[in-house]
Amino acid sequence: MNELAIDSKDLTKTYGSIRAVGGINLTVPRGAIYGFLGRNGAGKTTTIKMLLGLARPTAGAARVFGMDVSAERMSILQRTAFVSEKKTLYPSLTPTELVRFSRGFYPTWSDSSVDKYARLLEIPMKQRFEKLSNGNQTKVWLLLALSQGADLLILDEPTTALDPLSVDQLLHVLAEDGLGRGCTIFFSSHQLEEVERIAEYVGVIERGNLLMESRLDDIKSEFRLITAAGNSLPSQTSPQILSVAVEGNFYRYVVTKDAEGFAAGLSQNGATITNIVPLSLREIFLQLVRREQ
Amino acid sequence: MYFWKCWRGTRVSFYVFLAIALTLAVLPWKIMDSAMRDLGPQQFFALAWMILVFASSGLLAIAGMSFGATGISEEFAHKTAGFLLTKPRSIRYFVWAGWAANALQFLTLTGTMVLVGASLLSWACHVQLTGRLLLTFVPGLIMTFLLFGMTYLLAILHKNGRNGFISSLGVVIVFPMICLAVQYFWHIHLPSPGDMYPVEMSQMVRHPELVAALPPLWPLVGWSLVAPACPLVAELVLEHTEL
Repeated sequence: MNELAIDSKDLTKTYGSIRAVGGINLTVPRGAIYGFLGRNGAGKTTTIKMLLGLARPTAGAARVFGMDVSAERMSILQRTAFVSEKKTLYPSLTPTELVRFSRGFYPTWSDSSVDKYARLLEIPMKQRFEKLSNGNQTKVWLLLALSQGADLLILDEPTTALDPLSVDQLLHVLAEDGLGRGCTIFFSSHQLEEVERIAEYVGVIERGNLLMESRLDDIKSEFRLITAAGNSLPSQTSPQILSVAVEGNFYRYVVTKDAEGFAAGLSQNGATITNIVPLSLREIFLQLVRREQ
Repeated sequence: MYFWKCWRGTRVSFYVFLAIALTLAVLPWKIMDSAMRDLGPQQFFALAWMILVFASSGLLAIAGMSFGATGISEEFAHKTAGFLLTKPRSIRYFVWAGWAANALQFLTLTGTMVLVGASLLSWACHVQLTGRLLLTFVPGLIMTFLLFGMTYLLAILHKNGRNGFISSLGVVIVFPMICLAVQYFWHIHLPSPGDMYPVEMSQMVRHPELVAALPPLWPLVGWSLVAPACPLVAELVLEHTEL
């Protein structure tokens, strides 16, 4: 059995001369929560569209549960639930009617999940979709996705327009219920705190390039901000040095691995190490994106 | 499922068209009953039948274009295509489910108009309904399928029902003009859906008895093959469409 839920190889998408996704290699293990981070226009949605067969890759390939997204789209869609970035649905239908519509497509559909999430997320099920608030419209999408009994949830900006309480409820549902039944969750977001809270794996995309993909714990244990005082210290980036900021005699390094060894090297060059601190996901993300720019 | 959703989306239009269809089915003999009492029953029947055939053709044409502008094209216009096309069904399923849901509605309209209108006329004029008489509705029905299919295709090409409807209306207006121009200047007869009608409307007004004339076979066959080709092309177009 393939141990990867999503696996892409040089996945590329170009629109004319614009390279929306530039040959990314994603590896999402089964049963994991994967946060796909990137700024607006970084290529998150295009990547998701290719995974769902809504856009054809210009080059490269992607597999979902070992199935090729171009050749076995129907089988993939049967096991995949999707929440779109644009939370529009049929305006004249009520959530109850949307449930009725969606139910027939999936043999794994669960009406008890509908009842459960409708109650939990406090969705007015008898109100027409167009009359719902933005937050409730997002919740309807989530209700439909969660009730599908899918093996893979692909969520494109799932917390858009949700209030903090609803975000909290959603993250709880994803972390507890989703993982509880072995579901893989792949979600894109720029809400770094949300990703940090539930994701086990993180991928950072910028200008169509995957800058980093790793376990969140590994990232947090490896990345360090080192502040050193000294003269003529290294001021160039390298695979180990993500960024360097120089202020007078003070050098602030963001290092991606072996922070202790790097600090020891600086000490040998006469530097005084004043601080070694871990970085939050937000800081790491900003450093990565700035370097790419 | 998608069939139900399409029906759910067009049912109000359907009820409106049904009400108009019933009114038009009853009107010919009601109007003529009071206006043309001095006509003989045969002539009265022929005129009323002609009105019924043209009224049904007109209504069905409008209904066909109106229904053609709904369906999967509206999914793009309303930005719900991402939701729909991530359901585990093929493009073919969505194209033909939408087509079938709408086709069934105007078939129901046709059936209602023909059955109610023809039965009323037959009863009022004591004329027996024959298969030959009922065949007079066939060109109108095929024309409706053509307009429906063309609008359906154009709406998908535009990814917008309203634009599809406007384009279709443009074709309906411009195409006969082109045919007439080509005929007038170069004496070439372009195939046209109008060929399905046995006689021209002006002729029929002067000679109502021609209403029972048999429609020509080959134009009927040809255009009834073109009608389902439109959603087929729409399907091919959608297969290559990306969101």
